[in-house]
Amino acid sequence: MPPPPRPPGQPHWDWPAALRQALAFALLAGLLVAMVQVTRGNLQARGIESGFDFLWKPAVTPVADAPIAFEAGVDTHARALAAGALNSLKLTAATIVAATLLGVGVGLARLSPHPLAATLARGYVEAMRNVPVLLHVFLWYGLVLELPPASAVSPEPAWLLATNRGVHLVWVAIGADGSWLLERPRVDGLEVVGGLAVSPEFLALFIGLSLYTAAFIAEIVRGSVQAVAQGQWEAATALGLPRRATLTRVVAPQALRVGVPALSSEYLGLFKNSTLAVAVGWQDFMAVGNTMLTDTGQSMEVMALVMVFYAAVSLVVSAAMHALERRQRHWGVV
Amino acid sequence: MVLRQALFGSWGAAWVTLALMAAVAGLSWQAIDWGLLRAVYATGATGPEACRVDGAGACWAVLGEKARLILFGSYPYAEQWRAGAAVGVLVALYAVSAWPRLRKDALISIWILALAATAALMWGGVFGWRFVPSDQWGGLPVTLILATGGLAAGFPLALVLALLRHSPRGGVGKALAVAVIELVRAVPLLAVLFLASVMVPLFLPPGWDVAKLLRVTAAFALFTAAYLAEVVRGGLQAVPAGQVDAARALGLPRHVITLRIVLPQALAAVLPAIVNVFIAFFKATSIVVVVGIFDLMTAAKRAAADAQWQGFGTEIFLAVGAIYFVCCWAMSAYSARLQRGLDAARQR
Repeated sequence: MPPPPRPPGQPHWDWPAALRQALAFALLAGLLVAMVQVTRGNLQARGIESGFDFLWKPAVTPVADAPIAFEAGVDTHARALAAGALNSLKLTAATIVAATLLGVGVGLARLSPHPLAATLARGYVEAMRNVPVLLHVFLWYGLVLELPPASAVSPEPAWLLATNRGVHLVWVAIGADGSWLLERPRVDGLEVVGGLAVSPEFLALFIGLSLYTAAFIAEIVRGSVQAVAQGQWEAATALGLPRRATLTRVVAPQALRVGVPALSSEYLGLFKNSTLAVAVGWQDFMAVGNTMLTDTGQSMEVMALVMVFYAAVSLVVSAAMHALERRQRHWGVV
Repeated sequence: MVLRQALFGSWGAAWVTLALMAAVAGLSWQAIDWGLLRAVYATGATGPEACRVDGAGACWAVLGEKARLILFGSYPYAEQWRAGAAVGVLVALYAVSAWPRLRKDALISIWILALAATAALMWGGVFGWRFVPSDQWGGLPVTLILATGGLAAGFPLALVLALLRHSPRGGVGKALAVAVIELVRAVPLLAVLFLASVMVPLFLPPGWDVAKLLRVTAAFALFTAAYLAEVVRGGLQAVPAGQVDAARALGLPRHVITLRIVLPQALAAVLPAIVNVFIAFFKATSIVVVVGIFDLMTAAKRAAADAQWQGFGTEIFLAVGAIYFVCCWAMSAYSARLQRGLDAARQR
């Protein structure tokens, strides 16, 4: 039975509903208190400290490949976490650029009137997105490690050296006289020196995540372009605009508006997928947290920091995207 | 002819056609040469050395050698027919669930039966079968169990979360649903898995011990539920308000309106999206390699790490990738067919 309409001006207080709410609240609070009690007992029984003091003590495990210098045994856990966070952001940023370029290309190829290009693009999307992203990473990791060892490569400096120690690229360096110069990597004994070193782990993660994410971005591109009304294409063609101008000036601005929310959630998914670094032993934030958890035993605090880091980035990015959408609606532009 | 017009209609199109054809031909030749012509299918008495001779291509022999390890992991060898039968039961369960002429209210009993059969086959201890603890399970059945268990436990939870969040009246339930959904969706799956494998033992009273596979399956259920709940909520919002008003006018009680009027329409509207979430989680089960559960991906990694057969990881990962591909591709074809049906119904 629908509740009878409430006479105006009379305050309404639904006693059974309020009681149910209070009961639910009490139950929830009781459960939480019980859990905290049990956990505290368990921690005491295992002799595990609590609190965040460990953050300012030296970390024993090194952080490889970090953008900031890190020395094990000297630098603090807090600095290790910062290095891990920078690694996470570095991997995500590099992958976003590569996956977006590839994904937009594949998505446009799928839409092209050229049947061979469209078929190949479709094949790419189906082959990439129907296997786990971790499989892409493992496959590429295996392939990179199969590359010849540095000792088998000619000792001449080269623009790009690919060995089983990763890829070394030509990079700017400051010479002995203080001038800028392009430094080419070369083999010195068993090592590769000079240039920009990219570790096998980073390379596998970068290639695997990029190829996988590009397939999803291609589908977003296709969906957003197809969401633009057919009449827009027809009108632009009737005006005599060439196909390229129709695409860049008429369709793309409208498609962007449809695609940006989906794209931003894809990027967030990629950020969360970058935690797969743990699987190949590359030290992103999650991996640093994971080793810290075993080193200090303070799993509660470390897991809380990990959750806060990922949740904070996710929430900030999605809030920014919502703000952007609101502004677009307000100004009516893309 | 239309095709010739499309491929060679202009100079630009002709160039694209030629370049793509050359690339496809080159890559296909490489793949055929490596994967078929120069491949080693069986090693005979020589062992892995047969794959290491100069000019040898793909070493498919490693698959024959490692098939049992990849498919069933460390499950006791003599009992592996049971793990195989469990895979059969679960695959049949999905085939039956996707069968369009099945009565939907029979689904719940079919799922309960199939899950019970899987549990009996895997654990044993009944019908004179040897008991096999879950830490000895491995390979394909574990992947399917994680995905199926996550869905079977996550789906009802998703319905509850979605209904709570959708309810027009606020309250503790709604706040809790919003908090769970948003928190779980904001953190990586791996964080929830670490929580389940490392932290849950700390939350439980001493002496309580839950097997790791169960804890991780529960984590999957929670994760699946949070994502499914948002999909289901989209379906709830799509049900016209007139449906509820009409049911109320007929004097139907609230729970009947929810279960018999609102949910069926909401779920039908978003079924393709539900299947897509499930595909994502089927793929995501592979991440348990990090927390030490022996699923299909872990099995592949172990097989590739065998020192005697080192260097043939590519072949193993391609084969395991083919298994994942067949499963996901079948599900996405099903999802696309459902979507076409919905689109057609909307046009009418």
